[in-house]
Amino acid sequence: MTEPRHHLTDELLLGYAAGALDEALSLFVATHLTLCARCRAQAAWLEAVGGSMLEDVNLDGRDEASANVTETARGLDEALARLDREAPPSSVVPALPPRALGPRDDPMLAQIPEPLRRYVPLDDNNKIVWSTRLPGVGQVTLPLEHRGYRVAINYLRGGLQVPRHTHDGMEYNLVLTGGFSDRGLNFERGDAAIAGAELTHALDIHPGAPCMLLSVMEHPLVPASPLAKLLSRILPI
Amino acid sequence: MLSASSDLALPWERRAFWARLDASAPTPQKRELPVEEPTDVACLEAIAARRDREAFAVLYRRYAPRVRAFLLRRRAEPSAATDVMQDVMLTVWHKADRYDPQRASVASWVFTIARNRYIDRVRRERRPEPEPEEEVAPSDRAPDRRVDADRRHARVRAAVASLPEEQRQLIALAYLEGRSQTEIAAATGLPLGTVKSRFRLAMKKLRATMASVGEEEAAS
Repeated sequence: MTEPRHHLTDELLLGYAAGALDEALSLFVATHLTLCARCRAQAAWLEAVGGSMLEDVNLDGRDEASANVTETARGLDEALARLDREAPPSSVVPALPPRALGPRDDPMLAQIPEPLRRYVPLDDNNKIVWSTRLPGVGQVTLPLEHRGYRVAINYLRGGLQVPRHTHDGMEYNLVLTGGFSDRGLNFERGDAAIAGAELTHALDIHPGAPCMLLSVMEHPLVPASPLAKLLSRILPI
Repeated sequence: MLSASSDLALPWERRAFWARLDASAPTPQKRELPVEEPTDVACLEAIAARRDREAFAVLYRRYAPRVRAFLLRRRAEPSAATDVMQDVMLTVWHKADRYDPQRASVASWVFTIARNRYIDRVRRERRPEPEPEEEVAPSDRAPDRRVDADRRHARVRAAVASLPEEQRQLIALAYLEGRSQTEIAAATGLPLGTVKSRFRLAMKKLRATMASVGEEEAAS
């Protein structure tokens, strides 16, 4: 497997290590990390920085400092009393179990790495439910609609051209299969393509195999031209 | 630039904000412990090997106040911060046998537990984690490099401490309060471009340390 060439931004990596990202962006980062040893090493390093931040966190000079000391002195007795009589703390938000692949599963599912795969909604026959508005173009929205992000997997047939368009907010794309070109750069499996707000661009899907993209968008698409506006009703990205 | 405009459309007062930053300036924490005070790693090993309650108490005194301070800076309610702090320390007790001293320092390990419990219990969200193992055939699998976590930890701390104050503060805000660059710019009144360039410089220095530690580890 070739390593990705287009990586995460420092802000995303640090936000993930710090636990400051929404679940939608965390999923984007974690899926890239599954495919990218280089960014995994950086994320581990940034967790080490987090450890040093915790160690050097200021404990005096804030209002809660005095409360802090009493809380923890009392807390130790309470914690010691709980050590042996309690099970390990469990999650409040139930974890999504990893989705092992079965023979009846949609073959496309095997192309989608964890932890993304477990988020993909399937129908009763274990097939991905693509909403299709044009031949060769499909989209499945992930159940992560909150705080202004839209998270979807887009399916675009090989050779397709996505006309020039712009976005209202940040747009985070991760290539899952196939590839595309954008302003002279090639993006393939594992590559992150992160576009800032107000960027106007067009995508050329590489000929051949279809391209599947994980897309996290801050705000819906703003078409740059009447043609794109028309197509935006049909094309998913 | 510290005397930025005074109209405050923000949830906290700018003056209070800067005062708090000053208060969070690194205090020299030499941690000169009595000789008999066991190390973090020794405490975790004692818990894992024989459910050593004294070792737990040592770790508790070291880390519980820090975990609680972290949760408060993430804007947890004080009572929730105490609950989650207990949760984190109980997790340390129950998972002590899963700690791998060659992967992470104890401080980093506790930080990741606190971070994950914060996401679960305060934000009420999931935290997706990478699963690189399934992408590689088992025969080709090279484990992510193992390191001397203590040495790495000392180098990380030194690197963070050596950042210019203005950069260190931004990194601390990002980690402790979970602020994005845009939020930091809004909160401090600094232009976003300034925040971005300080952040970039800080990351460049931290990354240089990472590269040199990596070379040392590869050479040793």
